[in-house]
Amino acid sequence: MSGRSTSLPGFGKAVRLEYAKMRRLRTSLVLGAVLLATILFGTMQLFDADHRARINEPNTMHWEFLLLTGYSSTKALFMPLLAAVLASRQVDIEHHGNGWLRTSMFGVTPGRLCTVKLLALMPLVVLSTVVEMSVLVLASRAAGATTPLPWVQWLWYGAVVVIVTLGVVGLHLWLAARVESQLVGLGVGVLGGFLGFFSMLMPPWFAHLTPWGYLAAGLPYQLSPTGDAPLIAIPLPWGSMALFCCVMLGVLALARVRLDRVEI
Amino acid sequence: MNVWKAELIKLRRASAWVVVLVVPVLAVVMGTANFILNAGVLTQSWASLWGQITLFYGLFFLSLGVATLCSALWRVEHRGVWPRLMAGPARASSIVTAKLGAGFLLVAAMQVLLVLGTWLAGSLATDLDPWALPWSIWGSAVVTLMAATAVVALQSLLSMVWKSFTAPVAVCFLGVVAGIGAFYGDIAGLKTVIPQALLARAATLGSVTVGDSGALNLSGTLPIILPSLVLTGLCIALSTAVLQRRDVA
Repeated sequence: MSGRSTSLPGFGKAVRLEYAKMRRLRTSLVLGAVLLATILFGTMQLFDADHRARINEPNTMHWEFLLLTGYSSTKALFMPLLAAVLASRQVDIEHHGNGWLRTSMFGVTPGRLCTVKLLALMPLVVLSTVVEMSVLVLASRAAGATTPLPWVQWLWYGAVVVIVTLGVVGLHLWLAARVESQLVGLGVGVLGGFLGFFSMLMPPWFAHLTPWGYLAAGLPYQLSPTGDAPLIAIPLPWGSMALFCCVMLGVLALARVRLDRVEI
Repeated sequence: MNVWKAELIKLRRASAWVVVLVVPVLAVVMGTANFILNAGVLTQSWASLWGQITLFYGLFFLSLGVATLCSALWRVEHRGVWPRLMAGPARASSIVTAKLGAGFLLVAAMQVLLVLGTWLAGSLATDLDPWALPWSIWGSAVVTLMAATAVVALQSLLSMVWKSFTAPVAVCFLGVVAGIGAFYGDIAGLKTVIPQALLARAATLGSVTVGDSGALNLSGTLPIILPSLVLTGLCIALSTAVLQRRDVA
């Protein structure tokens, strides 16, 4: 009798397989392109000579505006489309290669496979967010900004971006698995871009209505109501992000269970 | 002519109409909401409302909508119909122009929906006079449509060559970023050769929302329409050459 193990493939092996698929899909190229676009857009104000001349003045509030109007607005526009493209490409390979059935034979059900895909994309999302924010800070320093960086607000918002992006990617993975047509996923991505961006301009309650709106709901700054300063720091919106996490975890868990019960 | 008829029949059953409907409706809803919420800051006029609706629609979402539509138009061919298409009597140039024509029709429908949606939203949700909708809004929509032709032609070429649905959309996204950069950076050469920059210029022509956007007259529109027509012609010629010489299945 052979002593060879017949255990099912673990998450580790499944995640490594996803990275092998990503190499063929050129996922890093897509991420790199969006990262570059985000940095260019986010640093637009640094190309303005007037802004650079006033960058250290108290009323300019460079770091606060960079986060509020530069980085967050850009992420709200670009992140939904990036999530749709990443998820769509990651899942389409299963539709075309009959991957759902093949992996199910090894015990990796469709729901589990989508979870593996999300876990595989997680480090890339975290890395791209860290790189984007780091480059924004370095570019600002190179432009002459000497005022202290508000670390707490920036680290908080970095975490918000990662959490919201992963939640949206999770939704898109489920959608791409259920609906083979990539038109639907991309259409939802365009819709998300609209909703995410306009959530920045709408009242706070609007931002809590959709997943993409939480990039606005998680902002640690708001326009000053009194006019003493252009912006004010608000208490970190823990409640909003806790609500997002609870709802998204529940929705994704339900989606995973449902995916295991339908034929794809 | 048979190729045109075939494309029109495919359009009737296409799911691309969802994009045609959703993108302008979203732009109208969001732009109108922003217009109402900022009533104290914005001029209460049709031009101001149109500016709010078309700002991000023209800069960003219209180009991406066009890219998605073109990917959808060519998707049916990439799903095993290529051998039949290539074995048929239709010339490569007819196939390419038929696809371009179908894309043009879809974008035209988007523009009509956008103007009608603006009129409805302005009449029902604001205090604007429904009978005072300026003709310049229709003019702006037509100029934008003509500028969008270059984007349709380019995206049609990319979607024809690449089997992937999302890859052409990703390239369009980069074009949008470059176009916005060229537009706001006022880089003369780039904002004439990047189709998405031409589209951004056309959509904001005469806008009260964007300063220095240019006037909606002959001297303002010709520098946009002429390059757009040239780029469209180049893309058609390139697409035809590729289709004649390469196996794109």
